[in-house]
Amino acid sequence: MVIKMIKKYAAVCLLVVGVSVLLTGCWNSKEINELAIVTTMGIDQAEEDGRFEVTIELANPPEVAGGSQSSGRASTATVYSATGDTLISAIRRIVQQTPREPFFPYTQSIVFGEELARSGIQDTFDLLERNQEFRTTPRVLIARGHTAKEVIKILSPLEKIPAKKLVKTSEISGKSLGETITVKVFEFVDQITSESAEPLVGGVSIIGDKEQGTGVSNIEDTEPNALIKSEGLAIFKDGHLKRWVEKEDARGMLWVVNKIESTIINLDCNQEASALSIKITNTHSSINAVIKNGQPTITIDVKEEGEVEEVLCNIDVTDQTTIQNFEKQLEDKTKQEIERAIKIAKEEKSDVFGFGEAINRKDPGLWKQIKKNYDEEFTALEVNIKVDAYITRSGMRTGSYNQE
Amino acid sequence: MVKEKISLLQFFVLLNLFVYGTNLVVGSGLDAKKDAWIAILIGVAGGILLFLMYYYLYTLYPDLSLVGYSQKLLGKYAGGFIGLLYIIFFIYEAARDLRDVGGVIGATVLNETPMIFISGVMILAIAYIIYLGIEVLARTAEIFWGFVVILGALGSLFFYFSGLIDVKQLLPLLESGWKPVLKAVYTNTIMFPFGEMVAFTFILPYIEKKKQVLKVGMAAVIVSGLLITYSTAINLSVLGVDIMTRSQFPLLSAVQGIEIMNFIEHLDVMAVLVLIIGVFFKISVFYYAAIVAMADLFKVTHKKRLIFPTAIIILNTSLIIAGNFTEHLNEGKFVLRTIFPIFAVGFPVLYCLIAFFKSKVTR
Repeated sequence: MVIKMIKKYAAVCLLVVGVSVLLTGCWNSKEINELAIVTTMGIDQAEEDGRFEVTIELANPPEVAGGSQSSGRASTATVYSATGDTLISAIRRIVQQTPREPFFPYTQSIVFGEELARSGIQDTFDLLERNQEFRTTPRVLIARGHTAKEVIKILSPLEKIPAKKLVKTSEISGKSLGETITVKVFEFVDQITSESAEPLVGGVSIIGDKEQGTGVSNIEDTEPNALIKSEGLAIFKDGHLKRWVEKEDARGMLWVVNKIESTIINLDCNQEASALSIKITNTHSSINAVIKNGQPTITIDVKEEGEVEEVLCNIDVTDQTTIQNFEKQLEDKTKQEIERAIKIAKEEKSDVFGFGEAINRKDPGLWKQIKKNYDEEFTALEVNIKVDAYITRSGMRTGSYNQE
Repeated sequence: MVKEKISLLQFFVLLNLFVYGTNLVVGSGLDAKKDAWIAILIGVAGGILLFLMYYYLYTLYPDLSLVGYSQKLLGKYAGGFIGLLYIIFFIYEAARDLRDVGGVIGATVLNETPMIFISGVMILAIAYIIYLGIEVLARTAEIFWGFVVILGALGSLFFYFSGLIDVKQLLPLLESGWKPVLKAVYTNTIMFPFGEMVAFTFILPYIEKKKQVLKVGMAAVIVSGLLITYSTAINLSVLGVDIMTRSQFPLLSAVQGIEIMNFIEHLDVMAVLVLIIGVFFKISVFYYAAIVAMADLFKVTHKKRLIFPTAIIILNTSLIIAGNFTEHLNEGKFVLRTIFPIFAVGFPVLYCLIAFFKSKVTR
């Protein structure tokens, strides 16, 4: 009887101790007040001491939250950098300067300096894939004409965390202007490892005085000393940045890869150049390969839908034939943009559109034959472009007051 | 001999969780690259044949486990020896799956925790449920099956809404022809996960309504096979074939990509939950099969006394089975090609033939 009770008691004790030791799960525990949340990471070519210079930006929580804890004067983020032969060794060097352990799962963007991008970034993604703290979703950006460190250091208004501003600037610009895109790490890796496609990456640059843009004073003025600007689209070839593509040419590329959400296209009206703006509201494009006598050709189908957004000329937008003429003009303009974009890609021998993938999808056997000298095949590839444009609405007014 | 009973629904969910458990997470058929899902689909056909074979043996001896009828067919000693081999096989399999979970969780989520603690907690929970008996295991399976289905449905919706799915990643079909697909079917989609169903020969005798076992079992094999095919296709179309084949844990990588409205994101825990639930039932079934086999072979009346010693053997085996995860995976590939077919196909076929000729002779 007594033995039974002792046994029972011992079992309960063992259970309590066992459960409290095993199930609390504090082995890997990380206290939030001992972590420093990394919001963005920049990678540059190191000038000395190793291969890479890594810059990380750590959020400064009291300043981000505002309220009574905030001094109102300190910066919302702090930037640290260090060099190393591999990314992780550089990151570990940074810890020499920080009182807290950097914590990477919330990294929003990975910024590459242009110099490093030109000399090749195909090797740098292994850590981002392999390490379990990194996710595959940070956006990849290229610091155009600057080092990543310089871009990350700029403080700017509206967004408290500089990293968020980097990503948002690029995203919003891509959404409303259609001249840049934001790619995620895993999309970039997917394309860079593919034999039949090359990545396109959005660029960010600094306008204004970059030396003056790093202090809190930069966000106190109505006209900040320095601002981040989303600018241009980088074409890569075998992991090396080859060329920056601007404005309409960049848009031409994005038409093809079906990445345009909205954009403004100016049309000519009554011999007046760019006097009527069309807002593109809906687009879709597809790339298909056609094999004729063992020779591949590519067909690009683009469908776009837009609204008349602004009229600066004497024209009747209620007239059906006028609208049809504009649709025709819109088709031609889009087609020209795409043609120019393809020409640029062919000059760099970089298949940013994934034509190779289209051929592979159509005829894997043929693709196996041509992929060895695909660079030549790509430059010689015949591309047919078909654009269908529809202007569906003309806004809140029928005729314009410019109309006589 | 048999006292405990499980219902047909419980059998269905248990077989379901068993088949897609680890498979959903670690992936299979990836030797076929983009056509992995086709390889799995063909694997399902193989799975159906295997199940028919186990069912045939079951109809001959509805109350006996594999060890029981192997002794009837081959005599006490030869049959007993094969039974002994099966015990080792099941313990090894349970240990392999335990190592899978320890390795993957260690590599992805609990990076600094020693593996013995991850595996230890897992095997402790499993040992407890086995101690409570097959009925409890089956009821737990019912609850968790629903849970996994909800997680799967939610996950699918999230994949669609976040616009990650690019079906073009699956094209062209049969990029390098049928050869690599069929090779992948042979090496890694029939034996894993369907060949492992041989452990169910130890669970079939517990089912209540014996007449419907065939129907329900086939349904379970087909449903789980289609689920694996679907999830492999989704993973491929999200990650692309290159990242997929390089991933230690494809589902986790795919789920990490989900971002909806800057709000629904960082859903890693969903993939980890599916892994833990799946592996839990997989280990449980192997473990239980090993216990039943031991009890049958050595005529142990108190089955429960075997449970904790076996748990310790499984835990230790899982730790010493390989020096590192790479070795573990390579060993897995080797075992799948050599040892597996012997136990999942070889012996059962032998028994079928002997039973068939015996029935002819007696007639």
